[in-house]
Amino acid sequence: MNATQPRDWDVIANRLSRWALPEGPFEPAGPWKLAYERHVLIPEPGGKPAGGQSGELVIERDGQRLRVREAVAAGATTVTTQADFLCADNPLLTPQRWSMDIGWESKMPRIPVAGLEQKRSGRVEGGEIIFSATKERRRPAPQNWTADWLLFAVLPRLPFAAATTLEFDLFEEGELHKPGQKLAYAGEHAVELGGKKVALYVFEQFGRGLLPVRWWLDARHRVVLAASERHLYLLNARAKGGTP
Amino acid sequence: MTTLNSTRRGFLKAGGLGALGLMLAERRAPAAPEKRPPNILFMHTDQQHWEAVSAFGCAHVRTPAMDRLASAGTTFSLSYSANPVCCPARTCWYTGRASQENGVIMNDAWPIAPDMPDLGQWFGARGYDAVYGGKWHVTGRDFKDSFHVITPGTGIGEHSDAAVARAAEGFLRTRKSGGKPFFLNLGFLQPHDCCYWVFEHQGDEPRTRLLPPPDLPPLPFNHGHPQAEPAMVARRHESKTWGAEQWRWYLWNYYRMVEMADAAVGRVLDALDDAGLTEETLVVLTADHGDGLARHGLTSKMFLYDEAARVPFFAAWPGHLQAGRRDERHLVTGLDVAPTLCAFAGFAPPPKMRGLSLRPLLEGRDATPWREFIVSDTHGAGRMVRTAEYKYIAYRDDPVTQLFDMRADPGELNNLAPAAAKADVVRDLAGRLVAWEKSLDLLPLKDPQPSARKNKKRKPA
Repeated sequence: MNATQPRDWDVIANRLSRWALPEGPFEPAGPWKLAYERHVLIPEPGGKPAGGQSGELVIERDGQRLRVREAVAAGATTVTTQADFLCADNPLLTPQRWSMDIGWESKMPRIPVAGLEQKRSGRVEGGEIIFSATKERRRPAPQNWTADWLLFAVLPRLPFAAATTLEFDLFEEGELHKPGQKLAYAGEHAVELGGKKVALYVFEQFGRGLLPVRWWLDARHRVVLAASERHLYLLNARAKGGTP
Repeated sequence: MTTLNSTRRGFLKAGGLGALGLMLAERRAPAAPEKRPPNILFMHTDQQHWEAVSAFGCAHVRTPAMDRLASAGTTFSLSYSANPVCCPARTCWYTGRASQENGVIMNDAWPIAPDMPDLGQWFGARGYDAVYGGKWHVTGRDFKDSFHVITPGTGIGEHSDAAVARAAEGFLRTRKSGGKPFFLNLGFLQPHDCCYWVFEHQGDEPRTRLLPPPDLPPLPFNHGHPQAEPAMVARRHESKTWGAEQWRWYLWNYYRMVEMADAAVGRVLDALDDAGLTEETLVVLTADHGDGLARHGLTSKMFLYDEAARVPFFAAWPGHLQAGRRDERHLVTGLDVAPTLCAFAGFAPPPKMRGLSLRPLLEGRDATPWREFIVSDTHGAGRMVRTAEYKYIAYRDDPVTQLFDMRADPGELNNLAPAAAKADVVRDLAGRLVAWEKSLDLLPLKDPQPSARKNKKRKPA
């Protein structure tokens, strides 16, 4: 097994030097709670990478209920989303009913964010997805669909097998429609972590409205890293409250 | 430069530039302003190629939000950036003045003239809530001095465009119909992340382990380039070692970034609709500049071929402006943004606007006298004169000039400048360029200041 570090990982090499694969059991169907650091990936001209932590994501699964909390730093402001999904018992954990609280924080008095908070909800009814904000919006439900955060719970239930492929529409942040997604198993990948060679299992995702995403899972089917072109999520096994 | 001599007056009349041109264009505008001026939502994407919209026939991208704007309002096919690079293009929008006048002739080097008003200050002083979210990038001016900022965003569109749209959504959902008018500005970054993609893929080796999808867009018909190019353009080919598949892979990724911008725009339009504000809000969407997008074997911007200089432009105000109209006749520039928005707001724009209000065109008054040409410039050296028929490109201290017949050769592959038969056209367009530059109040530039690079706060007068 030859170890090759994925180039995405170069950007957070410093962080990875202090990072280790989580230990302990993991049951894909839950219950579990996983915490991720969100990092930005900024290559400079010439390819020299730079990056830094720019948010966090916590996902908790309990049966068909998934709770999500994500904070995304945008300059001096941070948007925080707390979402609660009740999902169908299908491979994509298709949401059936959900609610979201969106809040803002600012580190700068000159950028006041009071009043930007929102409450959202949604449900599936009669073949339609109904999004509720200050008004209801309806759209036909695609045949196969899920929300982006829920992929962290969908991936662990997929077999590491060449034939594994999912095709679906994605609703980013539960709302932004990104159709035509394909998620496929791409094989085993040896990486070096903490001086040890370990095997990770890779899935790749393509589709409209997103740059390709690579998902790395450990042998227990836990998502440990997910990287798009400009940001990645890294499992933080030591996060407070996380139970990997 | 305040006296009009007869030659210059004739030039302004022909070119439709400056105050006289503005008066001509506005002569037939309604005398009485609307009872309550409209809200104004000015959104911009970053580095969006003018054709990268599904409503314009591009089969490789899906842009339902932009398509929605196209069907609700008017789009201009012949819309050009005043200066196809981030800081200068934005400063031209927000001052209505040419780069040589506002001082921002290239990215992050020279600051904006400190006493030159921007649209945030102008609207804020005239009864509007002037609000900003996302990328600003006007060198030397802190946007918090000009606007109420809801979020600054970050330099990465994939990371924060959705958050910028989220902040705008929060703002819009609290506004009441008929309340104090707002001037909401949103700077989305995508598809600008394509610059990072290029940095990472300097060689021909695919960066990812992912197999490119089978439906990669084809190479454009004008992937090649003219033999003779100005040195600053020719130099840009040197680092491009990509094979055909890598170029096509770049295109595929670029279109995904446009779709990200579109999703952010859609989130904002939904909020506007849900708040019941659509019919009292003028929406304008454009881009600061385009992207090479494999045309002429180029990526990025800072040159004057159409792929960099030409930009999409949408304007919609349901119930007030024509819907579903594509204007393929009138030449439009980023310098038109300031006078247009002020015309709809019902007050005079800042002095010495170099553009024209598009209001008469948007209201369907097509007989309005209009300009015969526009000028764009780049990097303090390259200048372009565009008429309905031709484009003339000249760089300072560069012997290579270019002339393209834009009707017969829209891909800009056949340089007619050396042709004796076109000598009169070259002379005429070069003369227009000289006259345009003489009409400007040039700002003397000192050495670029390191402080400007950091976009250090500089209080406007």
